[in-house]
Amino acid sequence: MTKFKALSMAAALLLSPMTTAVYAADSYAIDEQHAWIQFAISHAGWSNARGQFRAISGGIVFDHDDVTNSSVNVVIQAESIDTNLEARDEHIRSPDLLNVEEFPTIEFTSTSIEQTGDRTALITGDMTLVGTTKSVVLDVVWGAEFPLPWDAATIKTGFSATTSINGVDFGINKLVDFGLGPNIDIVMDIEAVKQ
Amino acid sequence: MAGSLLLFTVILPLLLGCVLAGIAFFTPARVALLTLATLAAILFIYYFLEGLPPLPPVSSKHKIFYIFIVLGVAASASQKINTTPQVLLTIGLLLAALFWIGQRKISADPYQLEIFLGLLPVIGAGILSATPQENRRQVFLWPSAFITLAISGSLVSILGGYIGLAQMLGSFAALFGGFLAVSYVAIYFLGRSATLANIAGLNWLLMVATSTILLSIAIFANKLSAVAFVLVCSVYLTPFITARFVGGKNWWTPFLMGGVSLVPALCAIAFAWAYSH
Repeated sequence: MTKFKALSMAAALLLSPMTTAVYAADSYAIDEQHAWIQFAISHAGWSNARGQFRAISGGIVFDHDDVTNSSVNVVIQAESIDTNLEARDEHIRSPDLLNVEEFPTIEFTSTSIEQTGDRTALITGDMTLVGTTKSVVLDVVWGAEFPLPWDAATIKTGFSATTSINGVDFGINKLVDFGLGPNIDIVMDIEAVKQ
Repeated sequence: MAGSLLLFTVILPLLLGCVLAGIAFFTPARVALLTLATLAAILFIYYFLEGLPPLPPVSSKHKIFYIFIVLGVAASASQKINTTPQVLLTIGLLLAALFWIGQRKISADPYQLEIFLGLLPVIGAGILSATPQENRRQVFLWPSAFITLAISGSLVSILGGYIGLAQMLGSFAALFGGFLAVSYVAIYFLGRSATLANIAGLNWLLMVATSTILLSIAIFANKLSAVAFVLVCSVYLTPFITARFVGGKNWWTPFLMGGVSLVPALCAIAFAWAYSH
């Protein structure tokens, strides 16, 4: 019995690194129907103009044991902007601002992650907006992870993130001419399904 | 905000136009110096409105700045060659500008209507380059069409959803306005000649720079009225009509030249307005 126990423990020890390698970093696909990226920008100081993007995709590699090994890639279709007025959206899509014809996507790719609490982290990454790439830091809170109540095979996780960027840093100089920003506050709420 | 908009879009370009005319009429500047001054004025306008673009350029709007520099360098050389090579040079440079500016769009689908519309300013500038050398040296003949081209192009661009380049064309209109105002005073009040040997390079550079902006608008203005844009480009042809007034000593001759070019321009604005409403 003792011999069997020792063998079992040895086998468990031998297998544990493999187990860790397989399960520690899981891949997730962003649930496009449950992803929200919203922004707020000063409108000439009167108030904040707000809007959102309706087409978001990407993937997350989430290492629960060591979040610094995780990574995130978010792709936004710039044309999907929605500020609650089609005429304004058309102008934002023009080369004056988002220039969607030349730069159809806005992308964030993480480069490093610093864990700041049990459920919080700072994710540094490269944000590419209107063809210009700058380093941006997302302040991230992990929400929860569990299977869908009606589908145990589908495991979903979720994050909320905030950041602030300066549009002029990305070459959107016309923001200032139009009395906008130039600081843009961004809020992301993203759910992702384990692959 | 409105004050700085007025300063950078209207007042400073207007003053630059006055300075250009001053150099043309009241200094012994030759073609090279005058085209250099014209290039500087154009680059200043770009800088006022868009700031310095990155190098290498990121967007099509950034590329325009570097195209202006190439056109400015070519402007002096363009006046040392005969008409046919000059037409080829004009078309060649503007076609290169079209392909560079529209690179991403052309690579996605080269047969889009916007690309064909972008060819119109290239063709217009090519045709205008074919006018006799004597006409290219006229102070009012080309600029009176350019100011109309710039104003109508600007309004059509605004209504077409591309405000940034509309603003630049508006500044060009102010530049032409300043140039024409001082030229008018020099000719009709101070008795200077309306034909200047050194003006051809300036005329050519202003034409190709305006055409570069127009072709960029054609490619990227997302609500552009194609009919309105065709009508704007027909303004290129009006100097062939107004050339018959060249040599007229009447004070109203320049206004007549501008008036003729206004006909297609007003139609263009009306079409663009109707299209956007």
